[in-house]
Formats: sequence, C-alpha cells, structure tokens
Amino acid sequence: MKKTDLFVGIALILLSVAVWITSGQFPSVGDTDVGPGFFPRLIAGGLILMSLVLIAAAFRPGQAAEEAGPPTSWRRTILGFVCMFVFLALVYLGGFHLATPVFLLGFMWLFGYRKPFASILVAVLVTLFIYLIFETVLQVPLPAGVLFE
Amino acid sequence: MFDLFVNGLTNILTDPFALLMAVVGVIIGIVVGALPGLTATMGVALILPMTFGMEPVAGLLLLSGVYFGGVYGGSITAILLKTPGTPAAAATALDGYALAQKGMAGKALGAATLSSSIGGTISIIILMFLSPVLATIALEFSAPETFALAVFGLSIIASISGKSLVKGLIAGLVGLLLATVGLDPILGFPRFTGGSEQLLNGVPFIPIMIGLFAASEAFKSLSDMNVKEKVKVKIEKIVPSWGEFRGIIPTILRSTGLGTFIGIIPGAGADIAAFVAYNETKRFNKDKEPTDKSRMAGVAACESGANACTGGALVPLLTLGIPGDAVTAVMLGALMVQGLQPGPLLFKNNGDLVYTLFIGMIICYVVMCLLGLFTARYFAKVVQIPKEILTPVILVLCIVGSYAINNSFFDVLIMAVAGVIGFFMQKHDFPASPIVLALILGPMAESQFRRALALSSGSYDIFYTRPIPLILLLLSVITLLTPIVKAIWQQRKRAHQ
Repeated sequence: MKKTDLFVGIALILLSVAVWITSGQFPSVGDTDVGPGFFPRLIAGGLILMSLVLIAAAFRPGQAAEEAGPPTSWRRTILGFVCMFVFLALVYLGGFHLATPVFLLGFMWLFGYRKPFASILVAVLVTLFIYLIFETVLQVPLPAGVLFE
Repeated sequence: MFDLFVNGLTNILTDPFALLMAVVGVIIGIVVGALPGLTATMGVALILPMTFGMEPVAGLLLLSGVYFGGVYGGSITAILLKTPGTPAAAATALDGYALAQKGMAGKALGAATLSSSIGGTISIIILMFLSPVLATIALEFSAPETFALAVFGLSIIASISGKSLVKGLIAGLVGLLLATVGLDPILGFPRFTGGSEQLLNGVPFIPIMIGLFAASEAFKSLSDMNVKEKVKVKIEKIVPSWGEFRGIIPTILRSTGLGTFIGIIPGAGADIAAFVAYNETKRFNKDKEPTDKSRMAGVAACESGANACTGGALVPLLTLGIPGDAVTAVMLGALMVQGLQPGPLLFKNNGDLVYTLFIGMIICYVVMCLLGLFTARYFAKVVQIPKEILTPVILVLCIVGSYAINNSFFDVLIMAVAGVIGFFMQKHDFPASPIVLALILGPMAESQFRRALALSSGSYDIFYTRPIPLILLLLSVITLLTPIVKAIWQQRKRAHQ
C-alpha cells in the first residue's frame, strides 16, 4: 500500500469538494453561457474521480516495494528547504546584495564545501555577476530589503 | 516568402547584440546540458527572467540558444562519462561511451556535434516552410476549433508524460484548477482569489515554471547521495574527416526527418525522438555485433533526432499557440512576456520578427557546431563543479528570476512553494509538465468553449457538427482511453494464464 498516494487522494478529494461548493455560489448570467462555475465544477468532478482511482490503486497489494531512483537523504533535503526559506526572509529584510553572499557561504558550508578561499570567491563573484546582469545590463531592479527602504 | 527571408537575414546581421545573445545562449545551453541533472527546460526557465529587459529578437534568441545547446550538451557527458546530461542523451550514452572507451571519444563527440547541428538546422528550415502554411490554415480556426485543439493538447500531454496515466491526469487537472483562479474569462467574476488582489490576474505561471522545473531539480540533486564525477578519457581530434562524416549522412537525414516529425506531435519531446531515431538506425544496420561504424551511426541518430525535435516542437507552438512539451511551454511564457501571442496571428502581425528569429535560430546552430567541434573538450570540464556550489547558485537564480518578473515577493513565494511541491511530486512519480501546460491551455480551453457556446447560442452541436473539432475531440478521447484499454487487456491476459 502506498501511503502517500492515499494521502494525496484524500487531500485532493477534500479540495475538490470545497471547489465544488464554492463554485455553486458563482453567479450565472445569460442563457447561452455556462457561467464561471461550470469549468471549476467540471475539473473538480474529474479530480474526485481520478483521486478515487488513485486511492483504489494505493490499496492494491504488492506494489509497495517499488522504490525508484537513488536513495533520498532527507536530512539534506529538509536542510535545503530551510536554507531557501531563510534566504527568502533575508532577501526580504536585508536586500539581495547582502543576503546573497551570506546565503551562498552558509549553504556551501552547511553542505560540506568548506574551502574558505574558494567559497568566498564564489559568493562574491556570483553576487557581483547577478548584480551586473540584472541591474546594470538589463536594468531590472533587485530587492533592496525593507530594512533599508 | 523570399523577401521575408532576406529581411530576416539583414535584420539579424545588423543586430550585433542579438547575435551576441545567440552565442551566449548556446554557451549557457551547452554547459547546462552537459551538467547531469540540469536539463534544457531548467536552463530556459532560469534564463527567461533575464530576457525581460531585452528586445524580443535578442531575448528569444538567447533562450533558443539555451534550448538548442541544452539538448546537444547532454551528449558530451553521455559520451565521456556515460552519465547523460539530459534524458535525451540517454540513448547517446549507449554507443558514445563504448566508443570513448576504445579511445574514440573525439570521433564520437565530432559525430554528435555535426549531427546535432545538421539535424537542428534542417528542422528549423522545415519549421520555416511548414509553419506559414499551418498558420494560414489555423487562421480560419474559430472558437470551437481552438477549444478542441486545447483539449487535444491537454489529453496527449497528461497521458504520456508520466509513468502512470492517473498521476499524469491528476497533475493536469490540478493545473487546470489552478488556472481557474482569478477573473473568469467571460464575465470577469473573481474566482478562488480569497480576496487577494494579486491573484485577480490568475496564478502567475512563470514563477510556477521556475519552481517546478528549476528549484525542484536543485532540491533533487541535493537529496541524491553524492557521486563525484571526473572525466578520465583522453579526447583526441574532434573534427571528423570527410570519410567519417560521409558514412553518417544517411543516418542524420533519416533521424532528422523522424525527429522533426516527433517534435511536431504535442507531448513527445527530444528524449522520445532520440530513442525512436536510435531504434530505427539499429533496425537499419543488420550487423549482429556492433562495429565502430554502427556505433558512430547510433550516436549520430540520437543526436540528430533529439535536435531535430527542437524545430518540430516550435511548429505547434508558433502556429497554434500549443506547447508540445515542458521546454516549449517555457518558451511560450517568454514570447508572452515580450508581448507576442503565439498562434496564427503571430505570422500575420509579426512576420518580420518571426523570420528574423528563424534565421537567428539557424545561426544558433552554426555557432553550436563551431563551439562543439573546437571547444567540446573544455565543456566536459564543467562536470567537476561541485554540487554544493551549483545548487545554491541555481536557487539564487530562481529567486532573483521570479522576483524580476513583477518586482513582487508574492511571486518569489509562489516559486518557492512550487519548488518544494515539485520535489515531492518527482519523488512520487507525479509529472510536473502537465501542470504547467494546463495552466496555459486551461484558460484557452475555457474561454474558447464559452465563446463557442455564445456563437451557437448555447447549443453543443457546434462541437461535433464541424469536422475539425469533431476529429480533434475524438482523437483526445482515443488518446485518453488507449492506455486504459491496454491496461485492462493486459490484466485479462494475465488472468487467463
């Protein structure tokens, strides 16, 4: 039995039911148009059907052993997620120019790349490069950080 | 036609920045393609935000270069390391690595480079002649035809993009549902926005693309246990002799035809084109034991097939506005950012620009050929970049890129969430591309469906009394039912045994 498929199926059914109910409150105007609620309901209906198939398949025995691809290191993955969201917060607060080198250095260190000279070189050069491309050449502004605005 | 061609050529030759971008794009593409784990789709998604500030031709050529180079670059690592840089190069690894081990790495690289460039160039020429014809036909399409086209595109993509039909369909339906967020296309009624003003225009699909195709791949490469790669093979002369080249010409031409054709079909990408071309070539060469010559032909078949797919995939994108795979979906996003709506009108309103692009694309392939022949050995070194450096740089580019679209942190957040969700989807065999394609095709299907009903004053007859919608809708049903019927049939067969 595949637990994730079962969980995904149930979550999607709940979502679809919510969509179905909400769509019922959309206005319908005119006699030729099907209205804004028609497509969401159609899709929700299809999604419920497919989720039921997914759940049924999840209960079928003998397929649980199928584990494809290389083994997953959950410690590294979760650390990666956390790093990204911390970086997001840092960019939001302190701006791109400060947050990026800090993030790059921190990330490399946490994931085991600990050559000080090379790390600092990468952090500075990458930041400088992105800054030059976006702000100077393309004139696309990068976030300055709410603390400095 | 001929003056459009000449115009295009003069336009591109008098635009040094666009030419530079074509070269830069190809270089980035080859690097991205050569790196295992980074695909052409990811490269295009990451570079897309950099094209916002550019002129359309320069920006689109940069992306085309990344796309073409990305498809080709996978062959370098496939030949030298047996680690295909991209899924399309998996077939190249079979014969290419065998040649490299016999000390013929240079010859294999040469064959790969020439066949990629020739296959790609011919496919662009086919694109150039075929698409105006198709666009003229599509110009006659009205709402029911376009609706049926969108449904056909969706059905084919959901059914072949994953390991499981159910999961592909679920991904497609979730994408369709996401696409309904925002103002509805006919009445302008806000749906599922939760009062958020940022969602009135719908879910921004470029951040979702960046998240699903780039950030999630970065997480995936983190989660896989570390494997260090190093090129140990010695690379001799890459530029092949005339005799060697002459031997693979028939293979290149045959595979190019196959690749272009497969590219035109929505849903089938470079990986499928490479494998089909490879199998056809194996069928042609009847020798039991693989010889060096047949191995060269194998490499040539994969590479010309994969790159010919690029021109083919651009046919439905440019003429019908239907992206056939993930990478063309990102290209569609790029066109829309530039204010160009792909579809038959593109040829009518922006004919000059389209032909300039076509010529520019051929230049991309010429550049790729020269770079490959003279510098492929240096590109092979990129695999030595540690993952610990590459991954954070990709994440930084994801964040900067999704911010740059609207200068909005909301988009960055959507990208980040899409990246995390995309990672889990990959882990559990839910394909990501149906979501993105549904985001594009969903609104098209809904608005055209409702417009068609307005045309027919509410009667559904309009969808089956006209020939084109009828055929396309029937094809969609067949596409969706075939795998189901096949599964039931196989189960029956097993039960009887």
